[in-house]
Amino acid sequence: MNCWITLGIEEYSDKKAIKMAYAKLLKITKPDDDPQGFKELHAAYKEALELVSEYKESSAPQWFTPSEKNKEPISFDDSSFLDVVSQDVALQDNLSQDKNQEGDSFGNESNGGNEPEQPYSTPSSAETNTDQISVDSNQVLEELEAVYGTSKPEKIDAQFENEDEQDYPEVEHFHGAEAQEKLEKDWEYLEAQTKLIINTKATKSTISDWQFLEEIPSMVDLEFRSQASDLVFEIVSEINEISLQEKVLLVKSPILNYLNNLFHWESKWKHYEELYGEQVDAVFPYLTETNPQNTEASSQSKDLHYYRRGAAYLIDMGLVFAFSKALHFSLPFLLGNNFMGVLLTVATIYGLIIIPLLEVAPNIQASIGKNTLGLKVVNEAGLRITWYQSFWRAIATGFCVGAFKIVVWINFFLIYKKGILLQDLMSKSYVVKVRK
Amino acid sequence: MTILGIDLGTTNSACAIWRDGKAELIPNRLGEWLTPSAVFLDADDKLIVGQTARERSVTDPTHTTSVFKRYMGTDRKIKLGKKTFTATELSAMVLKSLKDDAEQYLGETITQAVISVPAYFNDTQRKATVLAGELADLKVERLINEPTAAAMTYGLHEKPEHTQFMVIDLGGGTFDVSIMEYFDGVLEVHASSGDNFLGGEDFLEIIVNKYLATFNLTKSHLDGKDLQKVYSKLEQLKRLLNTQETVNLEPFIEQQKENFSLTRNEFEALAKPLLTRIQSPIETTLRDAEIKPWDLDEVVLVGGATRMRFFRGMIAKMFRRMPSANLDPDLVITMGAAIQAGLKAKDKMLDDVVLTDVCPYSLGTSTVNESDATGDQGGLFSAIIERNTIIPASRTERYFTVSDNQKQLQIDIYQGESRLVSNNIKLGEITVKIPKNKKYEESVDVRFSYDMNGLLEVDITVVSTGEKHYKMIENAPGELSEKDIQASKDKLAKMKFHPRELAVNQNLVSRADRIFESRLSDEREAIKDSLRWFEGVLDSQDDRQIKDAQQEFAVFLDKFEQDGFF
Repeated sequence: MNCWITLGIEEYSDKKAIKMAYAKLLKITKPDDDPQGFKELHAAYKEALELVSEYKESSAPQWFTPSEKNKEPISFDDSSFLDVVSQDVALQDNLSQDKNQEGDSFGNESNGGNEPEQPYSTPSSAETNTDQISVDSNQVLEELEAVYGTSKPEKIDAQFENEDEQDYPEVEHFHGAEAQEKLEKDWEYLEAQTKLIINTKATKSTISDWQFLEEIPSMVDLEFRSQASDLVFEIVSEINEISLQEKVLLVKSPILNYLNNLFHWESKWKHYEELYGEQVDAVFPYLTETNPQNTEASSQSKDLHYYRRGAAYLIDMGLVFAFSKALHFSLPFLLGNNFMGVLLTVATIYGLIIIPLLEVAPNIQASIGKNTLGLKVVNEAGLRITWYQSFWRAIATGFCVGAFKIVVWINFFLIYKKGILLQDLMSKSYVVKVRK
Repeated sequence: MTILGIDLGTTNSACAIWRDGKAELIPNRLGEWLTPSAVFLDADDKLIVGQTARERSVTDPTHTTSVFKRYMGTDRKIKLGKKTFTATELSAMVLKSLKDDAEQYLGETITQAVISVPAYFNDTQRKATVLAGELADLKVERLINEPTAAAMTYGLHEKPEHTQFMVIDLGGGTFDVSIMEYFDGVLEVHASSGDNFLGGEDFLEIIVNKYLATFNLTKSHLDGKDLQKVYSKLEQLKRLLNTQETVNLEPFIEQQKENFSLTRNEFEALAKPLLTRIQSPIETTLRDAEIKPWDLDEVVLVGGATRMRFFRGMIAKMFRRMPSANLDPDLVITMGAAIQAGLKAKDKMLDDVVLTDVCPYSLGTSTVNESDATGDQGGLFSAIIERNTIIPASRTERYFTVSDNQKQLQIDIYQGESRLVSNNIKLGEITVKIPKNKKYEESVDVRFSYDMNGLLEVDITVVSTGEKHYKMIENAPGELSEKDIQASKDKLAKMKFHPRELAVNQNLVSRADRIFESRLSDEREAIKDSLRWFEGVLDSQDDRQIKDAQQEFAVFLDKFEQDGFF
């Protein structure tokens, strides 16, 4: 049904009328008493609000104006990471284009008559040189008045004179023209510094390079921090996306983790997916842990994983050995004296039958060794593997073990015959003793 | 039939009713609005809840517990003397104490309640809260989100014509942020977010750690009593920082070799890491509601911890304006719960008030993560009901098979905000059989319905055959079975409260004990003398004399606590 009919008002009534109609109907369609009716009413209400708000200018208002200084495109020429992505001309075009656009849109904004909502911006920002802003608080008030109408500035003003303003001397610096200026300065610094890091040491940047972010005084400001988060995310994800085409991650996991802890990117992933689309995949999958305390540990986690796999393998081997030993000891009459035979049989049964069984079993998905060390075997979707996969895994493992054995035997043969090892033979190089 | 509105807080709890067109707070047995959420259990299984228990946490820490709200909905066992309890059971004891107070005050039996919970409480925690009510013989008619409750009080109290405002609620152990709009009696929640593990207690923890580090101590160096002493002393210090630039603390435990002093600036520097944790949910809420900080007409602070000067200053800097503080931050939630109770009872005075709320968390399912070859990330979360959808809500999404000849499809039900399901909470699963076909050819429609009481229903329809499956999510992990509930009830039934008429005296004696513990020789003598005198008066059993002595003794202790700090 048409939302205007549901609300019982004329088409394209203003916001206030929509709200009043909604409020009136809501009182006879309370969500507790009539959930279905409420759902319909609320949907109509939302739709109506959206329809009328379409007429407003759609671009999001910027909270302050970017400075002239940073308008020139970022130059990537002298940067070290160009070794990796220098062929990628698109990168440079891309970024410089972006920059120009930003500049343009900014210019238009100030020339055009329709002032977007900029409660904190200085009046006619483009004409004023941003480096020498001198605005008295009256002007700011006038600006506020223009944006809000007359009622609001009074209210905001009244709030500043609220009971405890005097008791918070440190807060004083956070509003008025002076604060505005400070915010812009800090923003310039933030932009310049971020680009500097990306330009000069992208791959080699350390967490301490990025720690300047925390030191920026304006980071306590909600909107500043929010915008800073977006800016850094945009730059980092873009650079990473481009470098990933060359299979290189320019801004590495520890840095990403640090930035994530600082800006809580993960809690905004939905917003970022909407804003930056697939670009987010150049950041989010590389966040390795969410614990702010040990960013150091992340680089070790991969090593640790392989140690763990090795240890799991040893546990399995140990088990097979112990079991064979026990079997050999307790049933000598049945198995005779051939321990190697027993060992081989047990290993084959374990490797080809039991492990595949365990790997497809729900909630286990691992051999005994892996299970003990908290590992499991999954397919590419992170789910339990099938019988078929598990069987091939076993065969492949068997083959690898076999291949290893063959290499060992070849080496024995070579040492015996020629006194060298396989790798020496293949590379035609030799290991000799240092002469004194 | 009166419905009791209860704020079951991490640090303090309180209750109120809706009567004669307004929320009426109920004093506890000590004549105070706030009852500390602390429980003391003595050797005879006699319970004390509230201020007295809090005093005893210093003198007898093994028999006392507090801050258990953080463990609601978990299996964690909390030790109290020789017995162990879950957070749900302990909460039930607090609720029972509040209920007793209310029954005494109103002179009638109370069986229904509206209880407030942090907006960010998940399904399991909500159910644990309902269960705690049940264990205290209270039928929980509705759980109300804390910021929503605060907003109701604010809306009905200030009667603004049309405002959009943010409620920031920093309690003892939880942090909640909500954006609301109020017009023509309609209170609409636009977005909520929060941090379940952030609260006033974390600020205290920072000071405690600083203190321990100063004297080269760790918590394991101190016995339970000393540690409690440290906590209560430093809590006082934290409060003093609201009015003073520097606070000095003389040695009060053996290991403290010299004076400990902390300045406001030092404290602010130490608390900086908490700042980003406070900003994050605020930013998320603004983004979800698609508004900018300056679109808000008001920023309302709620919760005892927002009295912290440092916190108010921080909010002022973030928004570049002073937050409003017209209501008692400790009691707004209780009053809001009472208003909801009035609504629930269909009170005529509230006919024109309607509250609409949102589902504070996303509900969805797990999908295949194609970019994750190593398998250590696991499935990706796909939200079906996005967070901050108005409730009641129902939404449908279609999901496809990922391999050829797939015979079944498992629909996991998750709650949370992380992109990886492994970081979200699994609520249940349904497996449906599907006809063999090529991949992406078969699909199912998954419909989630979430109602006003937080109940989630899942309907699955196999698109090709029209076969339907249905599941109601009730059994969240960590929840108790019927048998366990009965066992809990029996366990609690055995425990009795100390007689009410003794409450005031007990409280004074406990308090004297606590102050005694924290002082040195001379002062100890003075306290001991007074205590002996007071106990002498109690023995006389002369009501009048006892009343007078209570007052006198309380004044004596007050004076002691105020002076003795420097």
